[in-house]
Amino acid sequence: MARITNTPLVPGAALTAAQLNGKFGDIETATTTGLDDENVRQEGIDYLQFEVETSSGKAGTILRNTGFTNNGVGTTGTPYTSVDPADPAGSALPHGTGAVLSFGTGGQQLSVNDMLRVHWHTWVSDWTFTGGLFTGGTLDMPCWVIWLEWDITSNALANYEAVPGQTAFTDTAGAGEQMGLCSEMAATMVIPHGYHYLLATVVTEREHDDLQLRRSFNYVNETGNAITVYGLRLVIDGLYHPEYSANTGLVNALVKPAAGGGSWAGEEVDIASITLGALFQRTR
Amino acid sequence: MSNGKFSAGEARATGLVDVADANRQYNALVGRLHGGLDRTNAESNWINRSHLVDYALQKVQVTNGIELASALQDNGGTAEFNGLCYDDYGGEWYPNSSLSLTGLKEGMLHIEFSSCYWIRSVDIAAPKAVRWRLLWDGQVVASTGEHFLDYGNIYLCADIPVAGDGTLSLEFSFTSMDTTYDVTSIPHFYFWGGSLLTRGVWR
Repeated sequence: MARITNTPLVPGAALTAAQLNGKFGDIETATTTGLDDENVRQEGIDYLQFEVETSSGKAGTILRNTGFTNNGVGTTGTPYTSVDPADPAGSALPHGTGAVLSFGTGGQQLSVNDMLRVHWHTWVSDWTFTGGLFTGGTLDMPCWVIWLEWDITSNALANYEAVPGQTAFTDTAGAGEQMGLCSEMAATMVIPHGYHYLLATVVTEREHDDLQLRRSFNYVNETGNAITVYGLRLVIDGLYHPEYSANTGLVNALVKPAAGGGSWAGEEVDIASITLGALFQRTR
Repeated sequence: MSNGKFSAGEARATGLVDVADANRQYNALVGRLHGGLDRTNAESNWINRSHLVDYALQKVQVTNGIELASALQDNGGTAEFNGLCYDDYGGEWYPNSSLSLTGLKEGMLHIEFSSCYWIRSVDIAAPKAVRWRLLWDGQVVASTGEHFLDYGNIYLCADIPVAGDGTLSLEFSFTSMDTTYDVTSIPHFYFWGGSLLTRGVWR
């Protein structure tokens, strides 16, 4: 606390300019960079004193930066075809002019203890059973996966990788198979390839009508080092089925069958509008 | 609340300086500086993060990797997920996860939960559905409707007033067993990739 020692003027003593200057000099000294919470009354500081950023709200006190993009598409979808296992897996989702969120030349710094929050929404407009997937027997319904990737290398945006806690679905399961562990799907969205119903007494498969799906991802940087995020994007891949077996290391995983007789390649899903939003904020 | 304006009267311009008056004015000024300043004294638009201690405005906690409780994970020898079997679950709300939040002050608590799920549907004679809910100190603050797709993604969000520390719980409820069609030992449900975000805000 900036405390001022107050020696009173003495009755009867001569009052000199030096005495007066000294007393007000004491105040100046104490109040120059010395004021703190003990000088301010309780609830004495208000919103008015906080540094604000009037055009965007990103003053850095809590919110550092935001980003938002959409691909400018309505309900008309772009078809994506399921493929056999490959490395890297999946296809980037940017089509139209969006669905890749760039943070410019310098990127956006995610400081230690800062948090990245990402929300995305997608409109799945159509499915097509094309590969004979459901002929010849009853099959547990497979799924498509969409996952979040970031580029923390450069603004060239040529080095995307799965965000922390997220698999890129390139782990090996059985012979020729690929998988992602469920324990590594912090930023995965799943899309059913269809649904089962009973036609008379026969289990039958059918495509859904439109579906709107949303997912979020939260990450706190506790690496001890700042991370610069240059871009975010979504990647789609399919088809996968749930599995828990020796091939998955006795943990839950989504597995893509090997190429060949058991291949699930050739199925389609149409992805229409995509919106992707991100917040960079402090956590403390 | 009175403002921080200095209001002690000044000595008359034409009078001799009186010791009592001089001390009174000076003492009043010093007294104001000792714990009497407020927003009317401070400049506007200057406090930034460098002036604030940690947790002066908020406290955020993120818990990732939330999945179906391990006590309910079973497989029965199938090739599907290690998931919920009717061997271990009879129905109704199940307390899947619990999180004790500390360091909170009186204010608002923002809660978000997002996850993926799977429901076995190939045995479609007995359709299934699942619901989730969030509870704060035992009080339901957010809940979903029924989810019944083979695969899906859920999102729960709530902003609630809190008095301080407390316990956040996640529960789910899955369709009860159909004794005609369901096999007790095979998995019917699993959820994974759950992320729980809490943000206490008090300024």
